[in-house]
Amino acid sequence: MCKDCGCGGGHAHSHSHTHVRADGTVYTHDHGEASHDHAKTPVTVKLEQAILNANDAAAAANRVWLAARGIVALNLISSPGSGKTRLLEKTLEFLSEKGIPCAVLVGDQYGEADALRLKRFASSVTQIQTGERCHLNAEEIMAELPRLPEGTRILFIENVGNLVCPVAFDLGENAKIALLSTPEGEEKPVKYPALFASSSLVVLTKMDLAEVLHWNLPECTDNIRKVNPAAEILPLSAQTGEGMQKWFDYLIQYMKKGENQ
Amino acid sequence: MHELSIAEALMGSLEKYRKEHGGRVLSVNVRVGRLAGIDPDALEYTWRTARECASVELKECEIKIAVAPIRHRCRNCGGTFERDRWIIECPDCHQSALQRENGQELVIESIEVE
Repeated sequence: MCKDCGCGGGHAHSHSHTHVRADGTVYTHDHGEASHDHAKTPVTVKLEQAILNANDAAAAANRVWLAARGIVALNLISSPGSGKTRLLEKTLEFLSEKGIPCAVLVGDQYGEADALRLKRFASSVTQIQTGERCHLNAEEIMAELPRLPEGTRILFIENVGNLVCPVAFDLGENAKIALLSTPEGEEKPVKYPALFASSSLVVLTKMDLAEVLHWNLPECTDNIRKVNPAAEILPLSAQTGEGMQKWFDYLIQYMKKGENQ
Repeated sequence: MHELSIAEALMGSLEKYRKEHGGRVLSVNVRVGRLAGIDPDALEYTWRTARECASVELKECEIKIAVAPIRHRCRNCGGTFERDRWIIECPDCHQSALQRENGQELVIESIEVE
């Protein structure tokens, strides 16, 4: 026991060291051979490491896994109710007629409603229930990848309906696709810029409602351009079929790019 | 509200560090981009929840969150600007030609260990 500071046993060599008293004053004293232990000084360790390291590593592994099999993965992100599932129904119907095998992973907090709808158009549809979480993560995708049927060409990932949270989580997709429906108004891209800035394509859905809503296409396009000058913009209506062919062309082009990876 | 996922991922990284290097982690300094979709108050709150399940060496680890300004570079005049918010128009040449250089970062800058 050190008689000066009262700290307990530990090392046994002669040295001097510094203590900080409870009142904040600092003092230094010498120790003889008597052994004791004293508090270590905190040190700062620089890390500069991404918080989502684990997710990003899983996403990178997913990307390698998918590329090795020539599967193109598209991460569909939008508000709830903007028409992701409806667009996918029509898309799966078209692609299955063309003989292009597709798979879907669909995220929702609860229930199987979307998977039940989509199963009518594709055999490989898996519902991921995230519970309290408002986004999918790369580990969840990783767990499902081995179950994809051999020969799958396009993997659609329908993320949890949310304009904010899914953006932070890389899933290993080839591209993020944002959907924005006309009833949501023209300003969403500038109000929630993170999604629209990181999407390579913005699909404007429910164009059949544009007229009745007095929704303004140039204004919306302008808002998208403000946050992402490079984004492709595709107005369509899954209901009337307007613009759908361009969407199918986009997918087929993407798939061919995947073949050449 | 994905701050709980972020807090859990952060705790996961610190647990990994502790297992590899030992020691008690007193605090962690985190840098958050303005467009990372993170509310600092919510992250602080969820950090307290994450700590409840943490190992004893991390139970008292404080979180310090710094929100990083957004760096913009103008593709037209080449000027660079740091702002607290995302700006669309270049303050110098008034063109809508600003390229954002960061904003979505979520980084552990450093930790205090003893």
